[in-house]
Amino acid sequence: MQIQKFYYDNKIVKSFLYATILWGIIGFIAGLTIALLLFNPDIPELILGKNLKFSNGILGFGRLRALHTTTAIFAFIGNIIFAGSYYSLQRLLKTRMYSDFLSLLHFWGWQLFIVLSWITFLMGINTSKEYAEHEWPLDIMITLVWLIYGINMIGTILNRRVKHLYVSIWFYISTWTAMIMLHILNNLELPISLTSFKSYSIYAGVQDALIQWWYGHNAVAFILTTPILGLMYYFIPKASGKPVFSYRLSIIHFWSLIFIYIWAGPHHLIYTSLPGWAQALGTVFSIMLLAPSWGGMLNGLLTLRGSNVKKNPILKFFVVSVICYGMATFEGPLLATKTLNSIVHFTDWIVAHAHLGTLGWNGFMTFGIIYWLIEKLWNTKLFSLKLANIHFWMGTLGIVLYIMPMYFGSVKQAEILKAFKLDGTLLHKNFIDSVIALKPFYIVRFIGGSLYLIGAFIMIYNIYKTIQKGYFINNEMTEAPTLLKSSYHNKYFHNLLERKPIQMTILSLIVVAIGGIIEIIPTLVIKSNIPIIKNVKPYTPLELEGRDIYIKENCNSCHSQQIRPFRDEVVRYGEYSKAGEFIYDHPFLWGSKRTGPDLSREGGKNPSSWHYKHMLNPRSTSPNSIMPKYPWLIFNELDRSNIQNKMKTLVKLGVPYTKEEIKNAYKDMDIQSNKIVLDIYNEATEIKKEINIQKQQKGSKFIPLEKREIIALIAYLQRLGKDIKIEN
Amino acid sequence: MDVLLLMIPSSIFLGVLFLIMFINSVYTGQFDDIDSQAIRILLDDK
Repeated sequence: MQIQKFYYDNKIVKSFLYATILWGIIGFIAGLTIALLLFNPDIPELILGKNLKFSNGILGFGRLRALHTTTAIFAFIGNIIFAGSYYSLQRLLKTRMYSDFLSLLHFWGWQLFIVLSWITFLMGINTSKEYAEHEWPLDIMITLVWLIYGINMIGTILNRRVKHLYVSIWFYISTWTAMIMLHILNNLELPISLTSFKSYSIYAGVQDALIQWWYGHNAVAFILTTPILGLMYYFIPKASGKPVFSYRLSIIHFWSLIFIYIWAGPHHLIYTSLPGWAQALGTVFSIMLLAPSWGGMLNGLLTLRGSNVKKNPILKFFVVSVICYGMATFEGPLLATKTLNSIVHFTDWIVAHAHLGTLGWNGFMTFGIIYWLIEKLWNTKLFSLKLANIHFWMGTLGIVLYIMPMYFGSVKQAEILKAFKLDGTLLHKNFIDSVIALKPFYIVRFIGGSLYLIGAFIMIYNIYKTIQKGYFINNEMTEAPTLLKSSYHNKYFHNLLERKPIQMTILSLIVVAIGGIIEIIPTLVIKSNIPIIKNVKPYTPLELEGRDIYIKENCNSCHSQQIRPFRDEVVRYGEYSKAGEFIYDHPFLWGSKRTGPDLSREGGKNPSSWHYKHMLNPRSTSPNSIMPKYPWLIFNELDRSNIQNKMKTLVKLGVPYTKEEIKNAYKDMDIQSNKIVLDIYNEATEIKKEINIQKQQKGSKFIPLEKREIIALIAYLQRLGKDIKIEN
Repeated sequence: MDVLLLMIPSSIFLGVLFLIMFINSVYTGQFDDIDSQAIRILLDDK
């Protein structure tokens, strides 16, 4: 046996580690900002003053919310996955990463993608699909960078000096294969032209919803769960010095988890217009998911048996992390039952559930790994165990203060919204009553989040001090015996082993694809799943532009467009939603959270002038509203230049616009916008006066009200639910 | 209920497929020695 000398690439691990910390802080701050906006909706005005109307919505809630989730998921957790996998892959396989160039390309490509997400989201360029808001050029970029990661990882595995692939690597491989499948299939979209960022999802309505939540749920599975489990199986044994409790269990855990997880997506769509059988599958598999999740959780926790957790803050982080995983995966199946879902879906419980997973399970695993890696890579001990302990307790308290008020607030809100008087009318007719009740809970949540952030700052100070007293080796020398061909029985066996990572990749792809195939294909091809409603017509050109503004501002992050068949919802919002109503919705806009009321039957409920005033200042029409102001919509000119391209693109996706309609689009828009403006002027003469004053002041720069964005948005809002609206 | 026509055969197919895969993995020795791997990762490096 020949001993070979080689070097581990520590520099790339350091780069990803620094990126994790930086984006973590930015992601937490973005989260705190939107948490603050929920009880102080006028903060953008405090910052920008009268310039808010010229801001083009750069501080809009919907945009910041997408930035928060993208930064937390793909930048904070994404980078620790890369840092942890690059560190552990090299050591588990006894080889350097396959290519230093690919490592660097991967690192900078990923950071560039996050930076471009920030730029495009702030500009309002997004698709509105949750965790997949990135527009098509960015989607292509993500795919390319992900491919680089895959080539680098598989190449490293092929170069290995150790025969067996440790279970962590299985989790990394399945993460890679599942994410590329989910990412590509959910982001199939047709750009309106190659020079425009704007695109439309190729799926519509119910089908788009199913694909989106198949993706959305499994982004949780394959970004926030499987890779973190891979890290758990490596770093907990390393940090505690004890082998994993049961290696056998970890293998069962792996296969059962990746197989079952993929089916559970429809639990995000219980009681919606999704076909009942798909909802039932989602519920059943979510409940089954409890078994592999808890198997893995217990395996992680029992690995720490007998360790002196009290003395080691790193192990403390791991314990709480794994416990949070256990709690979140117990809560998940419960939330996927129809009973609990009917109460807490669309409420803050779901937000709390997501943060139990991200702040607790992912965040604490990340902090533990960061502290451990800093000691290893800088060849020293932590500067202060006491500060690490303070970080731990602040983080833990932060999680509790974040989650608990959200639970209570959620149940409180459901109680308010579902209450009826004895005469059969709603006790609280106005949605706002439930929002007022939530305010104190929002404030406590903000305090919890702040503690978590302060803890992270303490960590940075501690790390800074630790790094100062240590020394870092870019290329760490090590040695290991080669994998000699002679050690195998025959050539066939050798080839089989050579191909193992590729077999593993294909096998895990098959296992994760099954659930999706069985749920998605019937929904796409069996016609009876989406009964056709004759009255449902495509949007007019102006409504289409309004809908694109709705998407741009991410209105769906606070307003749902899906009325569930419950007495309170039908009385409050109108007839429950039907699958056939959404066949021209590219993308679907059902939303997943009601911070404000549902809008599916908004058309005709309020006069157009009400919407105008409401966007200018929501509190003028709805006292105590927590909706931010949208004055820029009222001052901006609507960009109509793309409407024909948009319609032509939608025709390709199956929306039946005729050639005549496309030709007359501009004329059509003029007629509809003139009528809306006329309505507004008739209803509210003060608006007419205000616009006339603007006309005199601005002279040639004046934009007539008919040409502004607000009119398109009003056209869309007034159309919502009209197709099958049942008039009283 | 049309969907049952798809669901029942696919669940039987999957059950059989996984059983075959499991039996195959046992016979090819994948479960013969696994606990040593858990310990191996602790031995290396500093």
